[in-house]
Formats: sequence, C-alpha cells, structure tokens
Amino acid sequence: MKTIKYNGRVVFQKQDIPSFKRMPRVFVDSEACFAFVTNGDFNVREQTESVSLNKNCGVLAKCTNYFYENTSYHNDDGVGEAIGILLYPEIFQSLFNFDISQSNYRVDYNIMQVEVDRLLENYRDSISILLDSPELADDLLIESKLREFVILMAKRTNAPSELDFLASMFKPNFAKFEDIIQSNLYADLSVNELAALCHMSVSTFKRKFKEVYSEPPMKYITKLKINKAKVLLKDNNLRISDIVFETGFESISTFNRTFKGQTGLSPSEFRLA
Amino acid sequence: MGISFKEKYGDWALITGATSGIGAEMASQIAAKGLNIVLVARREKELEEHAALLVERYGIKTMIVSADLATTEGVEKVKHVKQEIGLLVLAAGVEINGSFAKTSLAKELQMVQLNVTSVLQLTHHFTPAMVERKRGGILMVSSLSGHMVSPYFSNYAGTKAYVLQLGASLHGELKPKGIDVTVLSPGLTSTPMTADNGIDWSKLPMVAKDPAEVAEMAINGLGKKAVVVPGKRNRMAAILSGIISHQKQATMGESMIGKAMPKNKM
Repeated sequence: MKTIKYNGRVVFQKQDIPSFKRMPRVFVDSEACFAFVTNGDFNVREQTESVSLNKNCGVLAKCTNYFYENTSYHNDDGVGEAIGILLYPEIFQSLFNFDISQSNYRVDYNIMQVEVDRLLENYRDSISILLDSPELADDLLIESKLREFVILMAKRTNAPSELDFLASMFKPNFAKFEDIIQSNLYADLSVNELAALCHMSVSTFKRKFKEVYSEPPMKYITKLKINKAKVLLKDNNLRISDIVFETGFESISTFNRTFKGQTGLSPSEFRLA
Repeated sequence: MGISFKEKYGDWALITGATSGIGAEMASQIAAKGLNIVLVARREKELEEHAALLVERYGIKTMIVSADLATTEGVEKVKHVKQEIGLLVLAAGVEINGSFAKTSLAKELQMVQLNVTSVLQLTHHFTPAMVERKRGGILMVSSLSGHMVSPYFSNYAGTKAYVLQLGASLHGELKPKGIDVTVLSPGLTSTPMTADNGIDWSKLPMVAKDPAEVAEMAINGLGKKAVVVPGKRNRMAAILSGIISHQKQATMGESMIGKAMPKNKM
C-alpha cells in the first residue's frame, strides 16, 4: 500500500484490491473517507443502505462502520486498485480555520455514490501521481489538494458551504436495530459482521438480538431466508440458482442442505409438492 | 495475483440450451457473476422470457438467438453473433433411448448433429478468437453415459463419449494458450430431458441430482479440472468404467437398464 501522510496521519492511500468477498471498513475515531476504484464492481454496505462502487462511481462515506463487497464474488481473487482520501476534522479545522461545531447542517445518508465526472477524474489522477512519487508531495501541495477536495465535494453534494459539508461528514446517522437487521436479512452476513454494522460487540449484539426477536441471530435469519425461498419456489419462472442468489445463501449446496434440514424436503421436491 | 471470473472470460458468455435444465441454471449463475449473455435455444418466446428475467435480476445485457442446432442453418445463425464471446457453454443436447433396432435413424442422425456436430462447429468457430486474445473458457456438457458402456443408449453414449474426448483433449491442448476447457459429465439429473424419457429411474441405483448444484460444480471446476463428475456415486461409476472390462460393463448394463426400460421400447 502506498500512502501520503500529513501531520502524522494518512490522508491519501492507494492499494491493490486484494481477494475478498466482503471486507470490513471499521470506523476509526473521527474519520470520513472517499473511495475511488480503477477496476471491478463493488458494493458498499452500510447499516441500512448499499451503493455500488466502480470506475465511474466513487463513494463518499461518513465516519461509520461499513463493508466493501465484491459484487461478482464467487471465485474472485483480486482486481484493480483503490485510491482513498481520508478526512479528519482536526486537519480541516486548521486548513480552513473552521470550527465544525459551528455548523448544524446534517445530511440523511451515511454513504453516498458520487459520479466520477471529468473534474473528479482529474483530481483522482493527480492524487494517484502524488502517491506514485511521494517526493513531490510536500505539505503545501498536500494542503492545497485537501482543500481542493473539500471544495469539489461541497459543490457536488450541494452543501451550503465547505464548513457545512465537512461538519455533516462527522455526524453519522445511527439506524434502529430492527431496521439494520431487516435491511440485511438476505445479505449473507455473519453474526460478527452484523454486530459490526450495529456498532456493537458480538456479545452485546447477541443479547440485544435475543431481546428483540426471542431467537439467536442465525436461527432467526436462516428461518426467514428459507421462508422467502419457499415463496419464491412456488414461482415456477425462477430457477433454483436465482432463488439462492436472491435469498443470500453462499452456495447452492449450502442452500440445498439447509432447506432440506428445515423442511425435510429438497427444494425441487418442495416445488413439486 | 489472480483475476476475477469476469476479467478472465470477458464481457460476454454464449450459452446453448440456455432456457432449460442445466443450461438455464448456468445462465443464472454466470449472470450473477456479471457477464452478459447470448442465450441460444429453439423457442423464441421462452428465450425472451428468460432473457428478460436475467436482465431484471442481475442487471446484465442479453441477446437471444432462436436456433435449432440440429440444423446447419441453426449453427450458422449462432456463428453470426458479433459479440466477443469469452465463455462458451455448450449445454444443448438430446437423448434417445430404447432398442437400437427400433429407433428412427432420422432422429439418431439429428442427435448426432446436435450433440456432436454442432459442438464441434461452435467450438471450432469460437476458439481461434479466444486463442488470439489468450483467454477464454469453454464448458461442454457430456454425460456419465459418455464414460460407461450404455446399452439401450448406444448412440447417445457414443455422442457423449465424443464430447468427453473432444473436451478433455482440448483441455490439454488449449491450457498453454490461456483457455480453460472443462467437460461436465452429469449422472442422473432432474431436468426436463430425464423427466420425459420414459425410463423408470426408481429401478436403477441412482439418485437424481439437482441441476443448479450440478451447474455450480461445473462453473467452479472450470479451468481447474478437465472433467467434472458431480456426485460421489457418479464419480465412482466413472472411475470403475475405466477399470471394468467393456464386456462386463455391457452385460451388467444390459441387465440393469433393461429392467428400467418401458416395454414398448424393448
């Protein structure tokens, strides 16, 4: 990974996208971020939303927990590279002489897809060059590039001012527990991943889940996935492959095994029954 | 560093027999990986329906070619596809069974045309461009009958043995040129083809496999294996077919399959 630091903190980074199906991006104190990718199709999954990320669309994310997902993940083992711009309130406060506590501006998203237009494309390329030749990147240049980013983004997001844009990036919206669970039922997330999305430890998450749904997480989620599959199986236009994709099982064989375990019938037997 | 399925095989896959059975399941699974698909089958209406479903569900592009691959015109129609095909899936096929003395020669020849000739023609047509690009994938569908001596399926077994030999040989030949060739040899699979063929499968020691699972194994095996045989029993049968003498297989096969054959076909 190549990085450029400013005041001891990484502000620009470039890395090869490694092999993954789902990669957590765990919130680090106050840090918002913008991501570009040069190749591949990804999904950025937040508490209740998910947006796609590819060479034409970057993603702006507030300081919250989210996941990068490889959309064509089955056999994937690595594609392209990613460029990240990391935003910290302290750095921008000093760059712009802002006090972000002065702004009450809020936005209702935690992640937003931003189309990479020519201006942003140029910006991305300039950062990429600096990352390849870090000797060029002195403090003055870094400062000016960070300022440029905030000005560009404030315009793109229609924020009233640069100050408001920055302030809004450090005010994450926390969704209701039930909304997070219901939004991710068919996403094939593990208990650890769901807990991370809820910003909870695994044990707190499990306790909370049991309080709300009176069942352990995986038992409840599997039950709902199978229920959905049962409904879809009665629609004869859908193939088993489509249903497995739709209900978020990791493979056809897992689906067949789980379905038979829960209902006593194989999916095709159930369809005919 | 490895590359993704889509990068490896390019933007477009062409799938024959794409509207039913194993071919249809492969179409969905390949669409889920983000490849655009040229669907080839006979019936236009089914093609349209299946293509619409793939577009809606997986957000890919599709093109349909309504063609009967048992005819030269049908094969020519597919050869006219302009898209750059990086993944060729040859899943169209028919089966004829019953006493050889009673089957129609016209139908047997049609089966040879579809199961053998069209597979040869389409593979031969799409391979050179893949070789030039130094990448591509070809997935052929043979059958366990292509491995084993199969009385009452004699000509069918012959056509599938051809596919097995063509594909496995090309696996070796095209590997150094960057092209993955894999042959899928399913045993009994619950598809329209086996549902309608009159055989009483319950009289045979076989458990039908789910076509979606069979398709998944084939796609996962692409490039890694020359031949994919789904199911432990089927793999055992494929191995035994290379060990037991043809004479023994012929006698055993006749007595087993003969029992499951409907009387009017004997």
